Amino acid sequence: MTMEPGMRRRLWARSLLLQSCWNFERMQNLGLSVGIQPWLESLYPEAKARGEALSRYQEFFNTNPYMEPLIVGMLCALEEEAARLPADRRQERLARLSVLKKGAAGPLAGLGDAIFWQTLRPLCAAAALLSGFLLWKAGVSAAPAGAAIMYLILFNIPAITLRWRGFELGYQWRDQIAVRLKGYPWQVWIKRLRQAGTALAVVLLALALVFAGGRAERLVGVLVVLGCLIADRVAPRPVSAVKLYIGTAALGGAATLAGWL
Amino acid sequence: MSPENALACAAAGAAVVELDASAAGQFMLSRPIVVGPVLGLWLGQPALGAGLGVLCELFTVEELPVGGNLPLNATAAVAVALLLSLGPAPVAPELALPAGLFAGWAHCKLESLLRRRRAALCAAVESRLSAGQEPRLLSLAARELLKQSAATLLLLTAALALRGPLLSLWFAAPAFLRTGLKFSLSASPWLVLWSLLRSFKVVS
Repeated sequence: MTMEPGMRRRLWARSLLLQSCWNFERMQNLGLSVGIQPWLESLYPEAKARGEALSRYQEFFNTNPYMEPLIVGMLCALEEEAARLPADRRQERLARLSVLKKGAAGPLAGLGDAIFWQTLRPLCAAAALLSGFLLWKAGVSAAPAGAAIMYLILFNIPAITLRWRGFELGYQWRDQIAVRLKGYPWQVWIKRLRQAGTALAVVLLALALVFAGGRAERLVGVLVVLGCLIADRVAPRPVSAVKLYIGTAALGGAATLAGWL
Repeated sequence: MSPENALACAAAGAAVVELDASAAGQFMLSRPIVVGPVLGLWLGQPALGAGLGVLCELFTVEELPVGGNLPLNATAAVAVALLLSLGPAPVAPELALPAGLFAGWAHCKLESLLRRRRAALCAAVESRLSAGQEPRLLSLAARELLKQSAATLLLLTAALALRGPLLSLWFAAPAFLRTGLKFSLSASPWLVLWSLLRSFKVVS
């Protein structure tokens, strides 16, 4: 079975609205309803049956937005199966659908968060910064724009690919999503990408030290990095960059009062 | 176009692009590393735009928008920092940056309020469904996006309106405060690079 391209386009466009109605009570339930509505309309032409189908999506739902198409694809396939069954056998299938939806949302959210938020976003930022720096050193006046474009391309290639292909994969894999995803070495890929990110960040720090304005700036840089290292060792959990910034301002103010600055 | 109009257009553009942060799309168009250079170019200072954009990007690189966690809004932060530091009567970057970060925090509170109010929508949709009516989900989503964009625009406009009082306060502020903020601005590139390095700490 395949999903028609027109329907897939509609589902894709609507999947972009997953978080438009995000609420603390049931999180993405309304966004998921917006997303799957075209499919339910095609399965259930009667208003009553369509309303009943939409009611099934009003319960709590939360996942990573880039992984949602996989879940929607799976739900489309299961809804289609359920719609074909006679009414007396449908309830059992629909109950299973609800369990599978809840069961897939959590693990996929964890995987998506680790890939997109914790790995790709900082990695793309580091790569964009490095490319921007190299363009700037080469005398390209549009270096900031180049960095921004690099960032968008690097992040969106996997993100858009997954968002587009996800419907088809979820539709094909059905209730086997977890099993199929387990077949990929995600943790190894994430680890490699994070190692690459660490290397890029170290290069950026080294470049900043080399190209810092003068000896005083370099000294400030070394002291700040050392200070951050100590703060991370001493504090029970990592201190956010904004808090470190506030702390630095307080330090600067205190140094001024003491006559050191 | 007058500088005031250019600032107003920049604020309106930022309010629309902010939706990409979490409400719609999430193509990363709202990230400061993108918004900063674009706004800077629009307002005639691409280098300042890029600089503040990179700082705001990396200040928020470790913040994860997962589940109910609403981190400091990076788009609002960079937009306010740039709107304040560009145009007529510009605010010094050492003041514009913390003002931007504060605006990012304020936006997060504003968004939290909007999200809390949306709980009523669940009940409204359910009651329509149980009454056999179509819930008009698409227009509901459009309305919520419009509300969020309006809230962001309100915040950015308020920041622009507060530019005068902020400048007066800045000139009246004691020297140690100004030097402290100048020092923290000069230390910021190191702080954010540290934050970037730390964001790759392998988690199992």
